[in-house]
Amino acid sequence: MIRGIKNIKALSNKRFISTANTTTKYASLSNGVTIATESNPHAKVSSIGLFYGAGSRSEHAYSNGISALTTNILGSGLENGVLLTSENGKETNGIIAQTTNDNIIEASKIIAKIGSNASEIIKGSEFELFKKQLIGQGEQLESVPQKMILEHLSASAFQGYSLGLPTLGTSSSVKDLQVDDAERLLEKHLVGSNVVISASGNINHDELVETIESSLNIPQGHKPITKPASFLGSEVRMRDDTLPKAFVSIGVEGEGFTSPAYYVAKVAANVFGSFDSKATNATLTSSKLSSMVHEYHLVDKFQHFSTSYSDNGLWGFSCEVSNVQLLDDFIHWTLKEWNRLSVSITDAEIERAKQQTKVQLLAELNSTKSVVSDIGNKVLLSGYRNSITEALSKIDSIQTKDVKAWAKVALWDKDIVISSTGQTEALMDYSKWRNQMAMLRW
Amino acid sequence: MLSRSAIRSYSVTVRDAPGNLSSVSVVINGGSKAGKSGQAHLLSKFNFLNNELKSGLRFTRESELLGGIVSSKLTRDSIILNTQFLREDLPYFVESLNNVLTKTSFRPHELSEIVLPSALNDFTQASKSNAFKGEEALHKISFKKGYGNSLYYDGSKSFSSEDIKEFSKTVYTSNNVEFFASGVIEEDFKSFLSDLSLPTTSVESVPVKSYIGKESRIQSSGPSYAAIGLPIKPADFAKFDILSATIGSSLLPSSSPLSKIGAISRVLKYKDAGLFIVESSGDAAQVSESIKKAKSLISSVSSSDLKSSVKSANLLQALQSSFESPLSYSIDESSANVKVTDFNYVAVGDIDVLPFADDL
Repeated sequence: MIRGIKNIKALSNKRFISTANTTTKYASLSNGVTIATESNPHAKVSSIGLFYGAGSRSEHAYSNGISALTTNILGSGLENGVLLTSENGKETNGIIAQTTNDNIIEASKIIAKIGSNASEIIKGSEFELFKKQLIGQGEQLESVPQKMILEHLSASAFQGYSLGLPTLGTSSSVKDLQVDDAERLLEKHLVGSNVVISASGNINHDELVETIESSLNIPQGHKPITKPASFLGSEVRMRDDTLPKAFVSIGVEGEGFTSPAYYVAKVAANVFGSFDSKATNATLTSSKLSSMVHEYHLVDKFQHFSTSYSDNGLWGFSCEVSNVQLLDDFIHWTLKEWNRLSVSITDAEIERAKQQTKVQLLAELNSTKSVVSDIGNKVLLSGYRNSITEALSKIDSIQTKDVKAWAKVALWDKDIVISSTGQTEALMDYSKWRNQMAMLRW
Repeated sequence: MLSRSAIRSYSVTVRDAPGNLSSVSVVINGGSKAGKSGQAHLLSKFNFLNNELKSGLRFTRESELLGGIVSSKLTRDSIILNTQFLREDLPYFVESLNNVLTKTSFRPHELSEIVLPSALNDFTQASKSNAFKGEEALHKISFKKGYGNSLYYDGSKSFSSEDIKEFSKTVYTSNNVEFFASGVIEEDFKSFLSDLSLPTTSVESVPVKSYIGKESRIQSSGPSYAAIGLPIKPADFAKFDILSATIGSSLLPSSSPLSKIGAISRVLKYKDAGLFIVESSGDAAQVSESIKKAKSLISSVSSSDLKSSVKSANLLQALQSSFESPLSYSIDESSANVKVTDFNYVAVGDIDVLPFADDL
């Protein structure tokens, strides 16, 4: 409802448990596996996850989908009150067990068992059934235009590199996957230094470490090298006149997890935030862009994002527009606002965006599952996870000039990537939008 | 640290939590079950707009400057005001909630320009889904009044801003609101709350009556939907959690007896009643098959199956329980006995193909 918060519905619907801020305890096992736990006395559900670095980025066009498929097989089932689910990203995969607090030791034994016998579990599984389910998941994603354009945005931005591959694979690549492919993946990626086990809930760190240490058997091994990726300014249009709107996303190359400008990019995205023309506060929200677009109903919804991978990212917006004849007005004003980040953004706008970034950061960690996933991903991709206090003070120290400096380097006159579906005939050609990334005068 | 007490007869639950984020929620016992159909939805949309002390514009800009996340949500039971903010901003957000509850202006132009379009959008978006239509129909036939009211305002009745204001006076009363504050210090919170003065008129509680053996069929385009529904008492939540965990719950995604036949179950829990639902959606012929199989599956669950799902049912309960709506009943083997014989039934979509309740 409030502009500036991505995915507000998910935030407000989920349980709020304030887990964000307790200290994380770490332990390293002799085989290189990192264990990280956060205790939260208020949690009703405890979660423990095994995360390993792989994801679609570790694949190639013919094995695309294998990490998601393997993880889906390992992370599924309900046994004795322990629910197994999986989480698949572009660079990591996770098997997460959720259970009631008193049952967490049982859950950690199950996680250790899966980690130790991954290859046997794959061999004994209904491989073909899981392939069908994964293809179904991919089709589901493609059927939601808002999600589909984002997947194609990164496919176009990182084309030619494995980072551009779809997270869940394609129906044709998944169809041909074999059990051998899964075993090769596990052999290479499920190795000590590439595995993080994270847990959150009403739990005891030492007890958990002991359980895992005694029952987890993962071979030692080096973290595989992350495949390179570089950003290419480009455009992809998937015209579909059966859809009632135009769905467009435009991005530039963003910041990686380890980038010093990681939080600056987040704050910059929150300067414009998000907007929903049907929310009761649509006409009231602060960003200049939202006040420009609401009066003439240029846009139904828009949302800015700063997505990060280990060494690069995507920064931009996605929107849905039912007044398609006004689509070029909306994009024009949005890009002109982006220009303003480099030249005339005000202190008040940055202050607001900073506060919103802080609350957003804290509020996102609203379930033990999201905490577990946050720890797993950050530790795998950047080697460590900074404390919330550190994150907040980093955001506090950002000044207007820092955002301007970032925008001059990352945004001003930079190549863009465009992805769209629906009534794309209303979208002007690439060079027009590329030219709007700078102004001749201001 | 969790403490529950009443100041000036308000029900307040406060817990401190480490860290920088605080959250204060007000749960108002006046969701769509209360008042005339749609009134609660419109009232929930008026929250955080203009009040006597502050314009909606000023509040929105100020709270954004503090980074706050603010929402007004509607359920069948309640209107839930939720605020999340940095610890130091507690006084500001408590005052704002106070203003919403006692000083909202209910201006006529806000109703036509902001509230109605937003409310109708909720309704039209939700109504695109046959599953939503089916769930609504299931509530209607199962409860008729109260929980049987439509969740959203559908535009068929016209209310003035004065009507909504009057309605607000009947639900924003001291014995009808509950406060839940997390990440705050109890004394601080209570001292800020001491400024709040709500009327103490008592709310007439509508006794919940439920009906079984009803059927509703709605012709509609789009994917078909069929559901078996059973209104249940709060005392039986544990039993149906166990049943749901045994046959396959939407909250426990895994390979289950129901998922194998293309169906899933849910237990909707309200304050004074609940609704156990087994549903299937998709192609009409497929749905017919699934719902028939689901029916025979429910009636053939053995008590040993139920007993072995007690732990999963405990997880199911924990997943649904939240700070603002805690579920505290215990689930053990003594609840592992439930038989579903009579039920309600809805079919939405291609009703020429979808079976009748008698065919199941």
